[in-house]
Amino acid sequence: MVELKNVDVHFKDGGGVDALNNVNIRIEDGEFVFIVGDSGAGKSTLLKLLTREIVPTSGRVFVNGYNLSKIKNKKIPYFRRSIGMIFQDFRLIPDLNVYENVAFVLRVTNRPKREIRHRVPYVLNLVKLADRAKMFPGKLSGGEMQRVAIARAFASNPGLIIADEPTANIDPALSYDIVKLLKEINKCGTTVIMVTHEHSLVEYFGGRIISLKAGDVVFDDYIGGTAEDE
Amino acid sequence: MNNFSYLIKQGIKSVWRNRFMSFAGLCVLTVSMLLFGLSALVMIDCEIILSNVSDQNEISVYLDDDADIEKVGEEIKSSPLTAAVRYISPEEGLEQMMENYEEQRTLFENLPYNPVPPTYMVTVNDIDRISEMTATLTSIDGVYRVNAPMDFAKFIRDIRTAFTVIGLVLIAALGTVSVIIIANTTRLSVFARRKEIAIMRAVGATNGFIKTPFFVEGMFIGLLSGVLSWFVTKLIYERIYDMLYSGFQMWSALGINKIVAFDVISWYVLAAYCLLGALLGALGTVISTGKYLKG
Repeated sequence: MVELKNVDVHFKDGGGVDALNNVNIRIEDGEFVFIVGDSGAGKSTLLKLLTREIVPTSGRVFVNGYNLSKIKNKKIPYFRRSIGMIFQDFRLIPDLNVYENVAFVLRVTNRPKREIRHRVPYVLNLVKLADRAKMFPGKLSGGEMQRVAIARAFASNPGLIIADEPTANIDPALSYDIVKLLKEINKCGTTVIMVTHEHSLVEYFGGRIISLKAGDVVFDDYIGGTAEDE
Repeated sequence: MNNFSYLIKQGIKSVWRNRFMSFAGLCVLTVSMLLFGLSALVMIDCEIILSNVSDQNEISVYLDDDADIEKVGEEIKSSPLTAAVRYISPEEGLEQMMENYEEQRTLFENLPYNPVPPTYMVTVNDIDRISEMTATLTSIDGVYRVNAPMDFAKFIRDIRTAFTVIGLVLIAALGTVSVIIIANTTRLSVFARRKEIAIMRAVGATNGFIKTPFFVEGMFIGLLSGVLSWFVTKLIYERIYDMLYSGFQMWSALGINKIVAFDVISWYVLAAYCLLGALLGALGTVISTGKYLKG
């Protein structure tokens, strides 16, 4: 469960900017939520709050049972293990092959070797990249790299996946496949929060949409997607 | 074990990835440890030589022919620096001389008078105060001349002092430079692995997990420097040792035992170098990771 209560974020740099104003959001376990908004709307600030890269100026943030406003520094790594992150620039390690990139997250979090041997092929199969396991990121297309990043985010079976504009750097035609893949993962019970500025995707898939504008939540409701009509 | 070997591998990989900085760090660390190590060995040898000199720290006190031998003997014994006193009469002295110079025995036997004065052989209990003792003995009424192994002891002491100062200055100056270079090597490693570190943080790696490869890198360079320093020290020290003891028997002529052979202390030197290298390497890493990997 993700909950933001009366959250304000004010940056002192640059003469003082109100990045988020009195934001109240509650996302239940197993939901799929799109967060939309123009540049400067506060999307990135919201994600940084959810991953505990920043703390709110006021208000409280709860994610997966952790109170991020009060969490101790040494507990942050353990909190982050409960979420999976997907970035728009993929952030794959270039000198590790596909298998090793996915295994990396499990290794970092001290998972046993046996679990790594079972889990990595499973998630690579899920993102349909089993045949690319030994390839290096430089040899993959943008869509394939993002699918590796999704596999990596899902490898540790987190309760929440946060995707920061995962379709921004890939062919528009492949964007739908990426969101479909995230929807598949969501069906396994994982909460997915996806930040995007691609309205066509949101309109196609529908579901719960949270829209931000100049730091305020201006829309938070469910819409029907055209995909449902197909 | 899986993670441990992974972290070790990452640390050693980093050494290769930043090979130019690693090599610079390795060279400076090796030179500083080498100079420090050689200074330390010279100091140890000076101590050995000084203790040998101390074992033979007899001062010869020659008396006037008309001196009151017993009174002079009492005065010598009353000095707090006197460890032992041995009297050699002119007859015994001449006999010793004839034994020492056997070939000239006839010459000594035909002398019209005995040239050897009454002599006291005085052993001092502190070699460092031998000049003070010489002054005391010279001032005693009836003493004609005093011979002491003072100059040689002073020479060795001067060497020891010089190398102590050199050793301390070198370890302070070059040690600092080494730590700075290793800190910069680590900084470059942190920069080279910044994406990996960002991913590690995002997926929940602990600070210990992120920092360990950098420690391994610093300590690896330190250990490598230690082994290299040991090897160069061995070459230099054994060369000097051979020079001193092969042809020219100067030390034996001075009645001094051999300085310590490298084989005897080889493992201790290696252990000390490796420990010092690893410590300096780790220190550089601590500074760098503390500064660039906060939080």
